[in-house]
Amino acid sequence: MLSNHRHYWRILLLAWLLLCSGTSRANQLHMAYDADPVSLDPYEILSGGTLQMAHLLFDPLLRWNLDHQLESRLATSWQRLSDRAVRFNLRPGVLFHSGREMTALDIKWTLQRAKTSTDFKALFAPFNNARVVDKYTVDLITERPYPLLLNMATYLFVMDSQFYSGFDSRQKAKDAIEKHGNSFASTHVSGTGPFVVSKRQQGVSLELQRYANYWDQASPGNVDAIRLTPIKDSSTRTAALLAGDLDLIAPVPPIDHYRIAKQAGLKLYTRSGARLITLQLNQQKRPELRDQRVRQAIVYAINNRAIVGKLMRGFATPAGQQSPPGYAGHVAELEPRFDLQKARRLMAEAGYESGFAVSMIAPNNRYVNDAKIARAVTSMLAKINIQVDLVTMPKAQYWQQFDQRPADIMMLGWHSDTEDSANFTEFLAMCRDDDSGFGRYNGGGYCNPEVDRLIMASATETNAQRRAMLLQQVERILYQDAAFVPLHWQNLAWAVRHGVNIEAVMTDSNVPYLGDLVIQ
Amino acid sequence: MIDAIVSRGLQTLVVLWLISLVSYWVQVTVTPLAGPATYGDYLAALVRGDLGESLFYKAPALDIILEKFPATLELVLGTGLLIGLVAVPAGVFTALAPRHWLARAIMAISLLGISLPVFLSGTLLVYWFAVELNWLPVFGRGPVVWFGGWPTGLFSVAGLQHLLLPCSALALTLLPLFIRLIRAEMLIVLASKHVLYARAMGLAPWRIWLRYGLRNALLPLVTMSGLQFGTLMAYALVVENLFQWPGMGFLFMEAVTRSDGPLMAAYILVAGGIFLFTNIITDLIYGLVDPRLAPWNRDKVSHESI
Repeated sequence: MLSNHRHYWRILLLAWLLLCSGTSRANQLHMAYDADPVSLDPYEILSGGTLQMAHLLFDPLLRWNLDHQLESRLATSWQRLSDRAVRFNLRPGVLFHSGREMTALDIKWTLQRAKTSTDFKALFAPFNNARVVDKYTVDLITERPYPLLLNMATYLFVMDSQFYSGFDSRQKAKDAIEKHGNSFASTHVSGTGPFVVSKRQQGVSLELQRYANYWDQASPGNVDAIRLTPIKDSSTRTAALLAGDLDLIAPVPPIDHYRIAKQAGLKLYTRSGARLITLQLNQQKRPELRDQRVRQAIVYAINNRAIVGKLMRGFATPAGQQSPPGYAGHVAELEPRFDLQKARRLMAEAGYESGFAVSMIAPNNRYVNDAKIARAVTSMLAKINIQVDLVTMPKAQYWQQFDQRPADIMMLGWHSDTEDSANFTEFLAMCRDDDSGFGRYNGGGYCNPEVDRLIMASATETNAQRRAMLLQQVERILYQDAAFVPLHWQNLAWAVRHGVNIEAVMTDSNVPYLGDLVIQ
Repeated sequence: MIDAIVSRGLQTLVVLWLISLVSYWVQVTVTPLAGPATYGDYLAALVRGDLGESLFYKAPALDIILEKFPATLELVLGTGLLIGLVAVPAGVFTALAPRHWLARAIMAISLLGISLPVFLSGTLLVYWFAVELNWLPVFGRGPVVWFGGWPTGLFSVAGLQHLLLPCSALALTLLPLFIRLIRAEMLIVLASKHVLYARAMGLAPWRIWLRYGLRNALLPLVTMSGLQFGTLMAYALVVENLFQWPGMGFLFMEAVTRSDGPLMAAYILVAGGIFLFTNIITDLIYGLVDPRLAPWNRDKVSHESI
């Protein structure tokens, strides 16, 4: 009996030792975001997370480089054929993860599929078709002259048309796009990207290996494997980086910046971003907010610079308009307004000297310090006798509610999908039209035919200078009308250990090109 | 004996039914449109073993929760082990040498421990042992090995390292209670007649303390462990979120932020079920430790023994 016992323990110990295995770290990048990609389909959900995932597993025709210029990826060169068509010459010899060579047919197939996606169809609506000229040449043709054709080519992540054709084991079409569904494309990948998925456990980790036959052999990137862990809690994320468990984290909340910056062996990397945070004033619900003077009073009463300085700790750029600097529509003289005396005067002129009460909703886990900003706004508006009844909630509930436009003031952030000024106005300030999708996120109900006319004109204006004039005119009108309250553009922050050369691969749109990342 | 088991089973069913009312209410409030239309439909589905489908994962909620169960169980069991390893010696020592400086220190620290909320003590542990000293990892379960159908972190050094901090944080919530409990019980037992008698017989002090003292003092511990299991599950929710531990509690908090009503409702049911199950187990163990107190003997002996 006793000897049996001893045997038993020995076997157990042996099994334990056998199962214990060390892992090698040959240029492995261990990183954490606040979330992991919900789907591996680049056309299921339009979000920053999707874009980050797409640049790991797929390649676009063109991409933005660090100086916000277009650079060639799967397309080696391009030339405009007419005001409605651009010809792309494709890179020969590019292999999908399935081992098949990419051809012009895959571009045509990908575009057609993207046009059926509920999230992406508005973006791809201007496209009419892709015309296959030969194996390595394809023309993208738009309905009308479309100035942003090349911008949209950065969204064309070429998918393996054969891999995604046919039916899966559940008799569902492999190319089906099912939002938050369990589609084939959301869990299976064959792209041309620098990495392939080696293991994925939704919500726990995503493990990637470098694709051995990646076409871009000139890329300096030396990361062999990536392990992405979603860590929702920002202080846990920071602690894991400080403890040396991780090589790279994002986003980094402003409160941790100082701690990371002063730590030896770590680097904080920040740059100005293009995500605008706004408050929308619901004119449909409140007659008071239909009065331009009241809206202006609200804009004048809110101290953007104080919010950026105190709440964001300087980690944002105060905004007076939609377009961040560098965008075609940006007008330098449209500065943030803050003047309490003027705000009170405007309220008095409008006949609301004694103020009124409004409701307000804001998310509490979507934007940096969103709930804190909303509370600060509450106390700022109290100074012009507007009593705000504020409710904050997690983003999951917030977006459900937002669609009903239930409150008088609503917080909304926006990052231009096309990296262009017009996109802001199309979604946030044009008259709402459910058929065309314009004004989809215009919660204020602001509607100015002149703005609509200018934006529609800009959509077919291929002369860059004339187009910029139109877009700047829009910004001036929105500023004068106080169509909404611009707060600030969020900055971007990434933290890495020394030796992770993140600044060489980081773009304005908060997407790092990790395929080109060099680590020591 | 059969009477006892039947009545116990009925009790359990009634409690489960009450929990189902709560879970139904949660589901209907969070996601009114998803899931069964009436409580009757909901209950009927539950009886069939259908706890609804998660809105986010698009899969049966029960499967998703049970998939995360091993991680939570390893966390809770590890914590139990840690509590046992620390609380028993500490409790015995403080009872045997109450005036010793170490005993005083243990009591003082346990007082501190009982007054610190777990998210604070957990954060402090992370700060000291992970960030400052760099000894232990901050988050996650580390590498897991599949052992049959059970993913476990117990078979690798890294897995055990990952287990240590979350277990310590969770153990801190109950350690003070158990140290004090064992100490108090030991003091009572050591003052009792059979210990005095054993001493008079000239038995070795170790034998008296451990065999005749501790063994009797451990009895109330069994009840307490069973009752506190629920507390541990509740604190595990906080600890799992703090340490990004991929268990049931973490899943639940994610379901809350995603307003995944069916998943939240299913978690409430499963957590309630686990709690009831451990209570039954506790009762049975009680019977093993002291047959007079087994559920099926209680009525018989209570009059004579008290």
